[in-house]
Amino acid sequence: MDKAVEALGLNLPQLIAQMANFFVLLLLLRLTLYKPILKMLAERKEKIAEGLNAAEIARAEAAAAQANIQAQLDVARKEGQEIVAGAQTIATRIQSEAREQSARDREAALERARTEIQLERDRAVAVLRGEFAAITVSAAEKVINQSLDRQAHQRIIDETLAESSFSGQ
Amino acid sequence: MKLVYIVGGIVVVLGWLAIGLLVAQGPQPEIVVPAETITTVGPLNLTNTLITAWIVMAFLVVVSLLATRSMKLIPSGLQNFIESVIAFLYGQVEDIAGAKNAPRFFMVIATFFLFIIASNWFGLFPIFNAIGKTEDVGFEVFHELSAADPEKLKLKDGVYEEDHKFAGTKMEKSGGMAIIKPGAKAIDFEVKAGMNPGQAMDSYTVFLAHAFAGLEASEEEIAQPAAELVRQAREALAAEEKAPKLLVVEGHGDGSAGEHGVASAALGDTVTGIDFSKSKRFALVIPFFRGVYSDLNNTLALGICSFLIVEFWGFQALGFGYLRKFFNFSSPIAAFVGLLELLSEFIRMISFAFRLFGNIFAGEVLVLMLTFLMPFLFVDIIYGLELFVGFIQAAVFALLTLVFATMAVEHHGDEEHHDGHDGGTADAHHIPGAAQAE
Repeated sequence: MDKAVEALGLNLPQLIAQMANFFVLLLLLRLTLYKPILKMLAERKEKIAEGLNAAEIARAEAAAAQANIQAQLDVARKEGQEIVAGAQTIATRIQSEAREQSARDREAALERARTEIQLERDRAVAVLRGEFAAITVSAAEKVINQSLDRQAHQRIIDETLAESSFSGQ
Repeated sequence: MKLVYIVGGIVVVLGWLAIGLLVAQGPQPEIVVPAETITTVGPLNLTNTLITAWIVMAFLVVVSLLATRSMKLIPSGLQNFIESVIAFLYGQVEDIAGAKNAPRFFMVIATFFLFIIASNWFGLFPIFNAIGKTEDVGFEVFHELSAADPEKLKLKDGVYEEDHKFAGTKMEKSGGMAIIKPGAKAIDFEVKAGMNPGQAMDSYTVFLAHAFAGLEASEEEIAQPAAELVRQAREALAAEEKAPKLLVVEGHGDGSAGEHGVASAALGDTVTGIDFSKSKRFALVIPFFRGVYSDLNNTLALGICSFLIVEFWGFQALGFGYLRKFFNFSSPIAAFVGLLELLSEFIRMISFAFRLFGNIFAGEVLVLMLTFLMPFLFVDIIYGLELFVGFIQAAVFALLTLVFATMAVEHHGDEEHHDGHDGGTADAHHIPGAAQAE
């Protein structure tokens, strides 16, 4: 056994020295390598997760805004259509009203014209009656050569006219 | 046209190999299993593997500092590379141990992996195993032969108990830093069991004359020289200006080693010293750097660390309930299985140590031998293979530790009726584990 140990060069101090080496290296690398690197890796992981998260949120927000805009557009379009429809109804109503109004006005004007014409005729008839009476009286005077009281004449003519039922109606 | 390229390629490769074989062939390296000691500090031998381990540690820490010095959220360059390595390792640990245990296991597992892979790949640098301090084997042999209580040779009743081989490279110069010179020659001197120091000295004399003064001698003659041959060797060494000189005084010829020299068995005089000042040295290069895990001490240390940490986690997670896995006397079979479990815990440590050591040491020997046998091209293939082996061994060590750790912290099915108190302690201990992750 001793010979084997010697031939392989085993000796306790070096064994201990090498074990110490390992633990020293473990400690040094822990301080200079693993801790900073693992910390950095974790930090980066967190940052990336954060970034992805933010992107996700932004995307959701954008989608929500898009939907919102769409909804508003829909509403506006609907409203516009309603407004147009309303305007059309109003226009139609105004048109028909105007048409009715003009028909009524025309009717009224006709009525008025007709009334005036009636009045005019009545007046003309009255004038004509007067003139006709005078003409008749003078014609009768001439015919009978008789001078009569003017008022008596007039009365006779009116009675005659009334009997002849000459009227403007 | 294509044929020209193929033939040309083959010619270039063969030519390159031939140049390597003819011109750049080095001496055969001496393969030593224990790590070579560069210097000694107190009880600790500063071996070349230990020095390399410190260099690797310093490298890892410096790279870590550079990578994490000014960290940015959007990484680039070194930080990016190191982060990807850490993230990959963490992912692997998480896959095997689960998200709950990963933070607790990760740092140890990653340290195993990084330390081993960095060490293995460091060991492939060309300066490894090549640049080193030289040890004067020529003097060493004489010291060993002339000492009454030699270090490397075992004396019993005046004769040597077992064979010992002194290997060295014949060099132009020695001392300081030296790359093995192309064409330098590796030579061995061997002391056989049953020789006494005087016979060994005679053998050494003939060996030196053969190596440095061109004396004709077969291996058997070197091993057991006749008196006449020893005398010829003395004369040859004395005549050749650039050979080592023996310092000899007349004296008793009993073949023993004394305080002032060693008495020649054949000639009866005493050799008091060897002077290498005018000759080429007979020296061994002790490399300053050698792969960390080509030393069994280091792999065994890692195995023990792995064992200790796994047991620690086991106790941390399950309290003393952890021991129930090993000492379960509910039935003879369970007791036997528990015993096997206990044994396997310790055997793991040994298998960890020898798996890593065997792979890395074999790889170094392969690279070294091929470098000296076939200096160019061939060794490149082995280098590629060694890069792969270095990675695989690091991964195997780290993953096995991770698997054992995961097994150690698992609750066992037959423990369900103990959950009342066991679960409580386990949960209480999970909290520091979780806090560690932050």
